[in-house]
Amino acid sequence: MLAPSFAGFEAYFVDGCVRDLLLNTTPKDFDVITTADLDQASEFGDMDRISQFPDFIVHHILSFCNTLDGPPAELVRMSVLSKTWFKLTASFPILEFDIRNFESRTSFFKYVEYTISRFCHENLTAHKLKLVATLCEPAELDIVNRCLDLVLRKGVKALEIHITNSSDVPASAVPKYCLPNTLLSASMLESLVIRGCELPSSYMVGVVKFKYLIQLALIDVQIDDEVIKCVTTSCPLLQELYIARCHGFKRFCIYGHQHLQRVGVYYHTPVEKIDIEAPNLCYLMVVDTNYIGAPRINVSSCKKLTTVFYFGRPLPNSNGFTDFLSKFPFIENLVLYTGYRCNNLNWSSHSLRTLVLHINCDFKEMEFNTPNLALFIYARNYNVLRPEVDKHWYLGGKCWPPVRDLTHMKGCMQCYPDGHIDVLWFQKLRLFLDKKNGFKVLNLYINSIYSQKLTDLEKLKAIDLPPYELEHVELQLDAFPFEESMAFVDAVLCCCRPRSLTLRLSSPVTDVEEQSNIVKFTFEKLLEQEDQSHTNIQIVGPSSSHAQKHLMELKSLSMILPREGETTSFIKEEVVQEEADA
Amino acid sequence: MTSSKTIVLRSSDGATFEVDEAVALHSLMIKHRIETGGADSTTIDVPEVTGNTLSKVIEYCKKHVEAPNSDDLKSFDTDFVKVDQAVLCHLAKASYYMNIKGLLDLSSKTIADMFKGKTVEQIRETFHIKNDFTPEEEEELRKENSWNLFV
Repeated sequence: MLAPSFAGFEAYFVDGCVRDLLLNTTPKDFDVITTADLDQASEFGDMDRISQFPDFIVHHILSFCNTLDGPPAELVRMSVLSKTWFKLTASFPILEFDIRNFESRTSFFKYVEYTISRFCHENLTAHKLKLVATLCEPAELDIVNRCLDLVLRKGVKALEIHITNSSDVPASAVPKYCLPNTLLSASMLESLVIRGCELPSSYMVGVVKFKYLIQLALIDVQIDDEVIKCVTTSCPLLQELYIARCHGFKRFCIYGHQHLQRVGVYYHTPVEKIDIEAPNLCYLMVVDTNYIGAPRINVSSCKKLTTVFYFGRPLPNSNGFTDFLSKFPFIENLVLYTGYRCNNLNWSSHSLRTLVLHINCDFKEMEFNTPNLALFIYARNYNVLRPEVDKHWYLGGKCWPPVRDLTHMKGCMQCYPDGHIDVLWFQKLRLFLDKKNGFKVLNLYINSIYSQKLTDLEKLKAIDLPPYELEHVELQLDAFPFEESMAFVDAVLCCCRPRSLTLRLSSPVTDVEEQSNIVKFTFEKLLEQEDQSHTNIQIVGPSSSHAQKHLMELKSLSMILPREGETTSFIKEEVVQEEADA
Repeated sequence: MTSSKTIVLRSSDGATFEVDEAVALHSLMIKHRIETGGADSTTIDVPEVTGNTLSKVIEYCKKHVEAPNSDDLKSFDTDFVKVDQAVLCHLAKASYYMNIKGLLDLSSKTIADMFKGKTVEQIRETFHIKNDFTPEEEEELRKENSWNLFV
């Protein structure tokens, strides 16, 4: 029923009032709808929009539904919403199955079979197939073989297979899983991860004959030298290659590969040599997990190799450290984990910018000739840095340390000492700083598990050296009672004279009075270092309104691993006094 | 001093929006149109997107182009998708057509989060999905899925 209209829209009376008017009764109210509303209604009203989405968007949404640590309950629920959704979930091209997320083996294998048969029914090419499973009996092996075959025939872009025999089962009950020949027909493969399976020798080399392959990881797989050599010719587009715990190869040689960027070799049987000629190689990781011994390494032609991660024993004797560094003439970032004791560590490199060292070596044995070193992290406690390292890197993970974010730093030294810290340690630190290695910022993280009370501070004060000037010091003391913390502050301030100091205390007991004692103590010690009439020290506590701004400035001076505990910062400022008129 | 070039985007319902070229280029679809459109491409039609949605999309692009490293980008994104379901769906479609990966990821993930923790019935209700299975078909499905406790 037409109602008065304006603004170019037409209006209609609708609903009960129309009925009432037609029946000649008085309407209780008038509902009006306009053509404007109609447009609005279709744009904003309640309707089933998602089922109308293009498949791509639905699949994109489904890709965010994959739970990493539980059974794929959502995907199954969505498949029974409606016929449209049944089809949409069936055609979802990302097939991920992980037996660790299922409580029952039967339901896992049934789910795999069900999902893959629905997918293949749609006659589509999968984007990704990830199958992580253990095998207990021949029936399970059959299912895996059949499903893999079905998917591979239609082609797949990314394949991750991790199949091992269940440890509860004797090796004779089920043969080790052998990859099917149909694997070779997946010619469009871009990413391949094989773990724990067997490659039949008849086509062992075939595993690298995928010409579009960009990432390849072989873990716990038997291979030979030929396989690695073949990478250059068979996978010209390969960017990342990761070989871990694979036995059967002695030489890791790749010549003339144009696209290779990241290589990881993680070995537990002796490797004779690592020889790589790849002009775009920028990251090399070598892990000698059982300290078997270092291979001959030749990567000198790789001009972009700036980051090297080495875990093991690079050289039989410590004099070889300069030799070790010289193998990587363009190195900028080095992470070196080596458990053995050494003396006389001489680091000489013009290109080195970050150095992470986990080594059993005293400060006084270290000599740095590294004018461009911006960050030096020294830890004897592997567990401190391990979580960062383990978050690691293969196939696209971030490499650590986050070198790109550190370009603003100059001369920062971070120390995670373990073992007993005593006054002698501080003496060595002082002497080390004095070697003019160019450090401007010092971060010390001391944990009471490794240290006891500091005594004999007078010995430290007896050194004939003034405290070393630094821009900033950050001191973190974990789990120390407050009185002991003061001794550490004292020791640190005997060694250095910083322009600003950040104190981070995480102690089991937070007693406000003790905290303010230590703040006062630190304040006084800092003031003692300066000309008292010309210096002011600003204290920035965690609740201070200036806290945010100052903390941001201080943050820029060092790379801070996420730490707990509140900080108090002390910033020295020069006070310009007005000259009194004579 | 040269002023930065502006582009006019026209939605399906004729609404026009003038934006900096840099902001418009955040949409790879627009970038492609500009690059292949020749010198005279200052007005670009976006017929798949209505004015209401387009203005929101532009708001997203502006923030991400002008302040990509700001600390509040995360909270901006979180607040940006606190909208009605209808608006969210329009944003998802628009970001797909206009090829804006960040927005597509953001809206898709938000929708995915709406599925979490709901039963089948609750999902149908939330998204107004009609159950078009016959009772026999539903029984069949239940049997098929009886081996798992997911449904």
